Amino acid sequence: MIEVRELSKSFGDVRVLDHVTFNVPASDSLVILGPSGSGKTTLLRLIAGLEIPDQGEIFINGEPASEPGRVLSPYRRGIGFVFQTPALWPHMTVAKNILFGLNGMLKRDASNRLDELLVQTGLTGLEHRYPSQLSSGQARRVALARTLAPKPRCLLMDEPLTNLDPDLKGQLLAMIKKNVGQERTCLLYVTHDAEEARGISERVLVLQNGRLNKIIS
Amino acid sequence: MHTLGLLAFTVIVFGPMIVLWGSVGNSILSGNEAWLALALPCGRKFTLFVRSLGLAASVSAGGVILGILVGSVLWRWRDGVGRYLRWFILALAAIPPYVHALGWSSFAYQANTWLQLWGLPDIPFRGFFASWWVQLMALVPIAIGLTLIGLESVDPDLIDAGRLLRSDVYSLRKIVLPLAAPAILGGGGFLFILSLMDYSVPSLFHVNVYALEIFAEYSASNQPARAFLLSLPLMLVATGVVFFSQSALRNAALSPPWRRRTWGVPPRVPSLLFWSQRVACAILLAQIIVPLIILILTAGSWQNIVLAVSSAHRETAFTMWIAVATALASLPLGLSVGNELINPTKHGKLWWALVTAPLAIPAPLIGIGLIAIWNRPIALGLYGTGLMPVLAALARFTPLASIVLLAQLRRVDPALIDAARILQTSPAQTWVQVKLPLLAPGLLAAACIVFVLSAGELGATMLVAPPGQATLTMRIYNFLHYGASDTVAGLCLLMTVAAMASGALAVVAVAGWSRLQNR
Repeated sequence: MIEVRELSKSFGDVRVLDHVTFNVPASDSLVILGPSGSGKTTLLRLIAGLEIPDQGEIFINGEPASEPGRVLSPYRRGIGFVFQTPALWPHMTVAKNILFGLNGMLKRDASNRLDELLVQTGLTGLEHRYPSQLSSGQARRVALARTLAPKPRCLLMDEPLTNLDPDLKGQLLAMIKKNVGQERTCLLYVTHDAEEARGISERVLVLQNGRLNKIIS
Repeated sequence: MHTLGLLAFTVIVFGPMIVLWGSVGNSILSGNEAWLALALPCGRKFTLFVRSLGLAASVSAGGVILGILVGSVLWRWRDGVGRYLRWFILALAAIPPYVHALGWSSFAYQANTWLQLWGLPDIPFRGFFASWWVQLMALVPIAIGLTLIGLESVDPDLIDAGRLLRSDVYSLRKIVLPLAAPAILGGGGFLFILSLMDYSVPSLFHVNVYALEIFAEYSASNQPARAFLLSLPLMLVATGVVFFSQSALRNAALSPPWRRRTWGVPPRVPSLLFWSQRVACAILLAQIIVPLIILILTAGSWQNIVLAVSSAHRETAFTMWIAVATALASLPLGLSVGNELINPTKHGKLWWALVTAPLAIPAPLIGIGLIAIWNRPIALGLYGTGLMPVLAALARFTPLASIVLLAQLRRVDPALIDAARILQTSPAQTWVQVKLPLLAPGLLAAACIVFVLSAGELGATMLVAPPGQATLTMRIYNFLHYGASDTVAGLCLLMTVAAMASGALAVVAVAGWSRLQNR
């Protein structure tokens, strides 16, 4: 689970997040809805450990991840992050992109996990391709498979379905939901699209001017 | 105008080489086939060739290592003044190598004096090691600058994606360095070529290298064809390295300007890498401080510096003429070629090959080629005038100006030009009111770079300078053979200040533009 307490962050004089508090229990999902520039991405980056909060605490699965004087490295947080863009490493094949996070796993187990994810995401046969040889939909699926590969305890998604066609959007949404249910993962999803938000979760928070000021159920 | 610019570029840059090929053909037809043996280095020349390759390879390797270590530290500087200050490292590349030669040999002399006082053995600062160290110190800013450009060209999302899954050092090794590799290795390639082509530093430390042999061969035989044939092995190796490195240059010029995020959490590195980075930064600091302090101490007083500078007023004026004339003339030529380079078709690729090829030509050969062209009665009386060094500097540095201008052209949104063309009352209005202001930072940067390189040029200028006239660099180089003095230190200080000011102006022009774009 993710627990955020009184989280604040400023960039220069601009207060991006102002005493934000919420939690996402295990196997549950939460959508944060907000217009561009409302601080959604900053919130996810703080939870992922890519930014240091000015104030407040973040707990992941009950353990402190960010608190005054202590910030856990991003890769030690057991978090998966899907960016707005696929962010695939162009010099690695699909397989290498997916296997990157499987540290300490036996080669055979890693290979099995790769096969499993390739089937799950409909990418079988594309494992030796490079990102430049993929369509945008395939690239998004590889990005998702890479995030899911180490079986993260929490999934952070930063508008991952923006600009996708409705069919692909539906497929990926189903895949994300299935994973949350199967792996008892908690999901924090940010978007500016209210319709997309409703398709993900019943719990929707609205972020505006750095404050979480509304809960839509 | 554009076609005229391309034509002028081709004649000025490739004219000397075309004439040299012609002179080789003539010589063979005149029964001098035996000269062809000069193209195969054997005996003493083979030893020189291998030594030159060894020196260049070791300078290149040292530059790549220091480049990665210092570049990865500067890469973290994304806040405050640091994000601008770090690019001034490129301005240090403008300091001529002989300044480092003087600084470090004087430093070694002082250090050995102290060591002797304490009864300790000398540090031998001569021969191959001294040449390697001085060339490394002179060229390392290029390696660091290109490494930094390479690291900065990596999409920040790709780095974050890696940091979420594995440690920072693993992400650096598997993601950042492979993606930045073309620029890093390209930097190594350029250091290799610059070291291979330079004879000024090795000759100061009594190391004979192959590049000096070309100069010596021409001085002894006065035969352009012999000098050309002798330089073929050097050009062959250099062409291979240029071919290998040109993708780095192309990527650096064409890379999209990422909107940089400041580091939320700066990358963490293990202690061994941390301390290696600190040692490398200390070496860089010494690279700046040691020559500067030594020059100030050797010059003695302000009066001495003023005296040295005023005693060289003729050389200063001549150097200024060459540098200013070359910088101004290189802009229209560079702009014409830059407009071709931006073209992604085969045509553009051909121009890339043509623009990078001159990097593989030793400087003395350009001087020899220019003499072959202009030292004849029908040649408009140019030979023996102050225009010859300008032509030599143009042949050497216009390709660099075109690459800098390409980078600027790439950053100009074509829609802005289209909008102006729709509304313009005349093409001149679009040029003056829209194109020129948009290209201004690149034009300024290119002019500064060409200015400083032309002022420090030695290999070709020495051959084509008119009788009785010398540049500051020529005067300093001649003085250096007799050791350091307050005069030479004063002149070196003048060159250092001028070089750093021009380099800094180029960096400010480009950085100021990026800042405007990111608003």
